[in-house]
Amino acid sequence: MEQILETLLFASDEPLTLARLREILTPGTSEPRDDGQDSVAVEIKQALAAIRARYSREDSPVVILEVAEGYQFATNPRYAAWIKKLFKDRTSFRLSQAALETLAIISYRQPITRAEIEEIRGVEVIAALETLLEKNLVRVSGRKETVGRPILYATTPEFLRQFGLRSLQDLPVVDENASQGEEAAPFIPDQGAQNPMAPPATDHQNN
Amino acid sequence: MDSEFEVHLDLYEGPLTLLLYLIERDNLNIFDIPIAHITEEYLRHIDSLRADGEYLGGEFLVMATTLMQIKARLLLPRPVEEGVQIDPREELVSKLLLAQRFAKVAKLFGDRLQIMERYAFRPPPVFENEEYTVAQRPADLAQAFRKAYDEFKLVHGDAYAIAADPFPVEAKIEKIMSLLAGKNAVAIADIWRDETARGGLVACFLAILELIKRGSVRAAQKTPYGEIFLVKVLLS
Repeated sequence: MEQILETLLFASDEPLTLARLREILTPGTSEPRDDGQDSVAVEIKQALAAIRARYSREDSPVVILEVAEGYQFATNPRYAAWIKKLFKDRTSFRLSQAALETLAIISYRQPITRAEIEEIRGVEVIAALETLLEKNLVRVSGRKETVGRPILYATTPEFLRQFGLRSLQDLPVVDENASQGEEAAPFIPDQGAQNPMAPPATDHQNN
Repeated sequence: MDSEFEVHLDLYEGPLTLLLYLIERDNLNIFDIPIAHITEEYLRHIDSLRADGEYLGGEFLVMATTLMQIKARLLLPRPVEEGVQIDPREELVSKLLLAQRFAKVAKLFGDRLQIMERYAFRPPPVFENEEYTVAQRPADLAQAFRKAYDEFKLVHGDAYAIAADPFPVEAKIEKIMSLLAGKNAVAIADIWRDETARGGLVACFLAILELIKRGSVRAAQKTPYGEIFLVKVLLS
């Protein structure tokens, strides 16, 4: 089971959901349930946990991330410096403050129209929206049934992947009525660095 | 430039960002903003920015007006609603709080991206968005045609070519239908990509219009400003 899952994850270029893995392993059976009663789903989850434990024990060059409601291989962040050297001519993924704020508003208030975003930010957001659409972090999800039928925007699975989130539920909890000074809760922990058995997360740059 | 006004680039972001900066800089209580003070500071700031040749959008002036309006209202007796005095600053404060909250979340988003930058995925996945949701108006099609025509002129020159063959629109319709065979949609750029004569390009465009008129296809994009596709209309 572990070997099969590793093979599938290695070959896939997008997150594989539990349902998808289950369908491949036991085709034609009923829909997976995530209630602990579904023996195949439980088995898959246990196998994935075992793989992750083994990788972490061996300081494996790859890690399994749970993103966009699925599982996907990524390189171990401990060796990020080497990847950077490999792709040195690729520019890293940066977003302006305007784009980040616009994305934050969309992710919490989706689906949302441009006018509604601008109401919160107090400025035009056309340029930021274009950037987000171009980077496939945001998509057009429909039109609002109101005067002028304005376009509605929502986040994409790619957004979840880029931010290492399993689903929108992983967004930091924000209490919009909280008083000044109260911080928003942080994001879920960095998954690759979650194992307490792992050696200290220093970069392996020069060995 | 007065060193007092050395500002971070983000302040040009908008009036709310500027106000939040001033509140933080002067350690003001957001729930009890001294309006006279902040109005003065705000105006000094935008004057100074403008003196430096910065272009400030109209929203900065709207905010200046709002601030002065609030300042004036504070001098008048306040309206009472259900026994509670309405604070003229209330609306502004709630806007500022919301903007502040999202600015903080945006900071978290930025930090998160930096963490995630340390992971490389193999190979970068592309989530195919098969939804063609953005309907095209005739003007969009005309614009797409003009663009294709300009590119065509660059490649093939502007000279009049004497065509050996006429370009029956019907033949182009068949071409489009064969491109669409077994598929749901085809990019319009792919329809006229291999045309080498001006007449052929025009015939393709007319064929596209004809197919849309017949209702067998519709023109749509996956995302605004994206490529325009002809999408098969499935008859029920």
